[in-house]
Amino acid sequence: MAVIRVNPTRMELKKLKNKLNTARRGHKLLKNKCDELMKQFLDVVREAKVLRRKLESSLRGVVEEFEYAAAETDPRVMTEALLLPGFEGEVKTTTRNIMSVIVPEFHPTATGPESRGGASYGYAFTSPSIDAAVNEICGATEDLIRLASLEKESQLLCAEIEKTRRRVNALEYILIPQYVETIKSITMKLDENERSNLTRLMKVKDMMLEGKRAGEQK
Amino acid sequence: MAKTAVVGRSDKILCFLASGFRIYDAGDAEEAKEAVKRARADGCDVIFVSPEVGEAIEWADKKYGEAVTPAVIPLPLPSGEDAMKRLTSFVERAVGADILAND
Repeated sequence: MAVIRVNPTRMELKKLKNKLNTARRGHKLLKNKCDELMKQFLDVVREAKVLRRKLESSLRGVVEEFEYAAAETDPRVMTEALLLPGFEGEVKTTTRNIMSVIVPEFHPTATGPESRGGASYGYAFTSPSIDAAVNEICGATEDLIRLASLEKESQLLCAEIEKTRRRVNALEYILIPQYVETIKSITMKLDENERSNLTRLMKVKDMMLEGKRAGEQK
Repeated sequence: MAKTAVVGRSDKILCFLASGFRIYDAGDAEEAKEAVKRARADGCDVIFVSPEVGEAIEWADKKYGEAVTPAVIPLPLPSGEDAMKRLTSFVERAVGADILAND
């Protein structure tokens, strides 16, 4: 691991030790965040998968009913019947904070024609299969909106997990080892300096003692 | 209040119109991209894309993936196997392997 190029002084050593402590604390926090995000993410994906399978099987009937209706009704009559809906579905969007990831929650405000006083077309010239298809979709609207919330949430959580894991890995395998290596190299350099100082002092002391002894002999 | 929309071939998704969804006609992926942009401009927060023009989902993921809204997701129809693959790809990106394959 490459050592950071810094002056081997006590001041730098102190600074690096502080940085290492911060990096270790950050690494621990980010790892915990990643674990919690992963837990939430897996729950959301499981729920989304179940809901999608349920909707796929219930909308299979809708597609069949609608195709049947399209086959037995004049296309113009069908378009005319469905073109002007009696109401427009709306959703109220709120947000939720999961470990500092903002995810949307969609709440449907009207889920079917019955909430606005019945279907918007006359039953005289349309196939009953259309009524069945429309009712089926209206029944599934709440689940469709819930699925949209769950899939968006899983998309946002997935992106955040990727980002957090990259940060954790960068701290664990690059930054922290670099700090450790640099601290080790500075410590070794300072120890070496200290040993060299000590040896010099001992040598000077020996020389002084020798000089003193030589003076006494004379 | 935000709106909900379905993008796809109008003859296939017309029944969603009577259920309160706005529908945007798109015959191919390019038209679907334009339709998604129009739906977004019209204030739709939830946009379903039908499997026939599913390629537009990848484009929408890149464009709106980081944003909180809109949620552009594949319409859960029986022909939409790619939608489940999309969820699997999220798991693979986050975990590294599809650990929910047997769920």
